[in-house]
Amino acid sequence: MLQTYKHIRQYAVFYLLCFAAYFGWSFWHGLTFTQIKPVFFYNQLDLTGNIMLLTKIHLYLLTSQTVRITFDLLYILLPVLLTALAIRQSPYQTLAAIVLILFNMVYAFCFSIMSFVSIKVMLAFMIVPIVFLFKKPRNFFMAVEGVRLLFILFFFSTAVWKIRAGGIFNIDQMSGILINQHNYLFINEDTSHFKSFIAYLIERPSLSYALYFAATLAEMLFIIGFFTKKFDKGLIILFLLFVSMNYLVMHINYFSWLPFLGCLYFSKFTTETTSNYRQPFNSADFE
Amino acid sequence: MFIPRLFKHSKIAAVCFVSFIALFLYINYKWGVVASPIYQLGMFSGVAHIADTQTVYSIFSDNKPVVLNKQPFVYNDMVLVSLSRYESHEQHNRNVMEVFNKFTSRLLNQPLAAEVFTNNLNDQDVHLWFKQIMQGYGMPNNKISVYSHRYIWKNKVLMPVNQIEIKKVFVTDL
Repeated sequence: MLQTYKHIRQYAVFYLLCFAAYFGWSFWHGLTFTQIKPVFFYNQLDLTGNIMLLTKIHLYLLTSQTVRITFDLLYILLPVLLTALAIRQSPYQTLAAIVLILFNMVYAFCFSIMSFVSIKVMLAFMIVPIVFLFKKPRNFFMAVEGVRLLFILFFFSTAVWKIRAGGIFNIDQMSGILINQHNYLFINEDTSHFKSFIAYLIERPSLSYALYFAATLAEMLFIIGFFTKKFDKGLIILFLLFVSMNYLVMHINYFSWLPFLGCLYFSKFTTETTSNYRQPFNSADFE
Repeated sequence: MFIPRLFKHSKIAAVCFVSFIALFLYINYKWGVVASPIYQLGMFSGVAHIADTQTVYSIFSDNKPVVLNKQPFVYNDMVLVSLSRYESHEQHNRNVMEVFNKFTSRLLNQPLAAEVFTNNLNDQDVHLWFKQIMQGYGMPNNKISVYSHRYIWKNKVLMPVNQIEIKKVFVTDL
């Protein structure tokens, strides 16, 4: 199957749909600058982010509702604009992608220091638009492969950190995490099934550790992606399972990472073309 | 392998890609900080134990306890993480500023401005902000009191470490 402009358009639409779904979820739960109206920030050890703070942009966000509304509007409109330009194969697509990436970095950093949402949750909205910097299918698919590699690296590194920091060697790990994550359930009167389920897991460290181990194993299996694309469909299923379990058990929304799955899906189109691309010239090339 | 193929495709792109990763690894390893958009993704990698002490917040509206569990989990996170961050923001932001001061003072020839890197908060702002968060619980105009406690998991329940050790976070005006 040849790589075509159609795939660029498909990925742009997929990105927009994922973004719209995540933004809709965030808006529904009051997670926009306009809705949270922050009054203080909680800085992070992030070099790029702290360079941004030198512009005092965060102070404007803390004091002006107009700036917050403008930020939220740009946050919604830029992906729509980028998708529209990608569909029309506009020469401005690259410029729109650059603006989107830079703006999303500012938005994500500022939002993470002024709300409880971690910047890592918004990672896909900073990294995936890199693929739209390129308009020619050949360059676009190289970028898709590059982002695919970064995604695999990110996900695999979480397993490495669990080994390095020692979490994986601690049988109490998941029970300890669950108490920390859901402690508010246990200080109030509550008879929900969710509370009973969490209490059940806490009281059975071996069972809850099995969940933690399974998650680490899933992260570790992404190492396959460094060597072959044959199992990318399997990795997509594994990732969907991982984010679903994260949402249901940990109450953390990593569905915002779904745009990365486009890299796993669309990178399959590169193999044939890349090999064709490197084939020596034949007489047909000169006709 | 991707990088050799990228090198064949475009030498500049390959050098940029490898330098991009190397730069972020250097910053992370050498400076101990991250740089957007590359992060250290631990996802609960640090060791946690069942017996770890937990800081738990209790919130009262007109002296009646607010039951957080009744709301979607996002609201609970919004309330609890915001409170935890509010309690430690002063010291935390100063610590972050000190870390970056080491590097930026060389480049800028002056320390980072404290008014940019720390909050200038007054009680009134905080009370209004928290009341606004509590609107999600349908009690926007009440007197809100917030306390923090230390709890520990024991005998299948979360128990206070010490009955006396209760810290007032803030109490709003009516």
